Amino acid sequence: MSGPRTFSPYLFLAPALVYLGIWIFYPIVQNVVLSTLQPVSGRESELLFVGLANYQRLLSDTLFFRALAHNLIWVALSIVLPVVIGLILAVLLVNRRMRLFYAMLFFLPATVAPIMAAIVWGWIYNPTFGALNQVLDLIGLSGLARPWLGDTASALVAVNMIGSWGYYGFCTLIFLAGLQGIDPEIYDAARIDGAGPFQQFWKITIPLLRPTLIFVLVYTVIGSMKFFDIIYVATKGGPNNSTQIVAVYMFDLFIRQGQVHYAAAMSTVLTLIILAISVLLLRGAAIRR
Amino acid sequence: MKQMKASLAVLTALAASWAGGAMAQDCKPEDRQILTVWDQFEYYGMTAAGPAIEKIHAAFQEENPCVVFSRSVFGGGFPIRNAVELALTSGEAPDVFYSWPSGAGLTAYANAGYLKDLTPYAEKFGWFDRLPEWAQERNMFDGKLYAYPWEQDLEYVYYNTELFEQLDIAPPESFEDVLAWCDAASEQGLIPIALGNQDLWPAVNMWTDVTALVGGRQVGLDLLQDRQNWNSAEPKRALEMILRMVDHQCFSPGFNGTSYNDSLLQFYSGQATAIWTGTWVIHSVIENMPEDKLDVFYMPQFDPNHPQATHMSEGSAWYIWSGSKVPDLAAEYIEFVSNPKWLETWVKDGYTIPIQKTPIDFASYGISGVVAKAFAEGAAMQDLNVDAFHTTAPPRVTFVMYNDIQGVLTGETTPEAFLDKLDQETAAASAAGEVWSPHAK
Repeated sequence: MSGPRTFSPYLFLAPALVYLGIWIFYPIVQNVVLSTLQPVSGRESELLFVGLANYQRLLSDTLFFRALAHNLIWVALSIVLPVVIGLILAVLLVNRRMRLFYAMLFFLPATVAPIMAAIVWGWIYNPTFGALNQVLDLIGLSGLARPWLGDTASALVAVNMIGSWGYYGFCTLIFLAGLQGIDPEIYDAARIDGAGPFQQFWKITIPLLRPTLIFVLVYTVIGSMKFFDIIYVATKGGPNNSTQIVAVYMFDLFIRQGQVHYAAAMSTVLTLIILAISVLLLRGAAIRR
Repeated sequence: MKQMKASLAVLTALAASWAGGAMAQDCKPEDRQILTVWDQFEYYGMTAAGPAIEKIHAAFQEENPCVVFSRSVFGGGFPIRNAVELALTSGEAPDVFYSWPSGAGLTAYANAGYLKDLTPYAEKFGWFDRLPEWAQERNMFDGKLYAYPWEQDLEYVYYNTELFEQLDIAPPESFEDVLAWCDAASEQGLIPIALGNQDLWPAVNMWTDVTALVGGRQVGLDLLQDRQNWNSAEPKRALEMILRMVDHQCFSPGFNGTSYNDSLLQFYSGQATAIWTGTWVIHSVIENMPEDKLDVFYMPQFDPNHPQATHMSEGSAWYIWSGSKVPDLAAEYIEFVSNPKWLETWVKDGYTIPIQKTPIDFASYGISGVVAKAFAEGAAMQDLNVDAFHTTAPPRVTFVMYNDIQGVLTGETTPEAFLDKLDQETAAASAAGEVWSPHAK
């Protein structure tokens, strides 16, 4: 009896493992292998093992580090804006009668395809006919008007706003689900003990919401590090590389420049960075638990 | 509407493919040949030659009933190029593809063994007699022809005649006239020249044009074939002249954050007096601008010591994949679609001007004055024109051109730093055998 019992969990896991193996693990291994090769005279049919040469090249690639820094800024902006806004909205909504309706309303931008969002926001930001500059003009703040996506000082934040607009509703929904899992009697007891709203938030909501928070943070970090579509459509990494992020740079190296193996090395490093940050976050959460 | 048109194009392509299949049923199974073709002939936008290619395909099918067409239509510009790049590197490319870029792009493909040498076919079908030398050279590697260049691309200025009249100005005859035009238009709250450089390539094209105006064809060839440093007199002077134009507010405000399509809208809507672009949007411009308000001119002499010139290239070229199982059929197909007997169809139904030695008599086709003027004047300067930088330089060099010229135009990068970086990338490309090298080694 013990034989089949030991075997059966693996049988149930097998479809998922096979799927992951084919679509995730095999491409990762293949990518690592590619990153250690280099074509002879540009011929993909004749490959030479070059060890870590492509990784060595990364170390002197200033644009890669600049792109990586932009990714980290993107992570920070994505945590500060959509995650925090989502959390605040969820806390405000959790005891309201029509909370689901509002949550769905906030979630609506997430249903818009990112490429469409980038195109429409591109019009909003347009320096000559864009709504944003016109509104600023109407309210007497024309001094703030600028070519939002064409100015190196504002482009990264402006393009992040597009991503945040499509993401905060998702965060709200997830936090709302997490908050609904907290027993209301805990808040009642805290109130009887004299805890105010802020104390309740810091001492009850945040600790009990930690698993949800960690999930959202990990999800946000992974999403931000591999971000591609909105930037590719809205700015293509410009102006002057001010919105260049690793995935967009990698895409150009791979598809346009044909530098498949160097792009593979970059992709491997990006995967390792994402893994490291995710593990750190998850371990941090586990220790605190 | 665009999506509807796109769907229509796909459906038509599928129908054409199906029709081919139906005709092939009359053949013995052993006589059937499948020909896979990827092109970019849509019904709108860039390369709106869908109606022309379908007419030509129908005729080809009639003459070759055993051929089963498998045609895919990609968006012009980067979609086709990206798809081809992936297909070639993965070893699953179509028999024939209509893509870009030539020059260094073609060198990299040919060097990697992805392309069929078309020289024997060119000799057989007389392509060398049909194509001007500059176009042959752009599509050669190591003395062999690897693509059949199609679609003449030239860059010039489309302008709104009504706005020019309002401003009381005429097409410029010197660089100082250009600056005066910019001053006059911006004083009236108009955009002198619509520029949408979010798409990265428009400013590179402008720079190529000005280099042609201050350097000439040979400088372009020397730069692109790594015989002259980018950080040298002519390209630098060209950048400095463009910076003077920026100072005179010649271009759309926030041009680095404006898309190419939006810059076209600025021109169509009368916000801009002109747009400095090329033949590839001629169909769209004619559709969107009333004929009595539209005219074209080439940028004038910017330097009295150098003649008027612009940049030119093929919009795209026909290639045969080296792994094709039917290379002879593929070559016959290219010969069929490029045969001069279809010239009228390409010009009238496809808004496409094929590259050929013999000048085209536009009047005989009843073609609009603007189209005839643009092509006739541009072709007359072909010995002086420079090859388009961004479609001829190695892709890694183009990447720097695209991204860093944005910084040059806003003053965040100096011309010298930009040009030095191009030289560094060219050196890397040269070491990797990626620089355009048409002649036999």
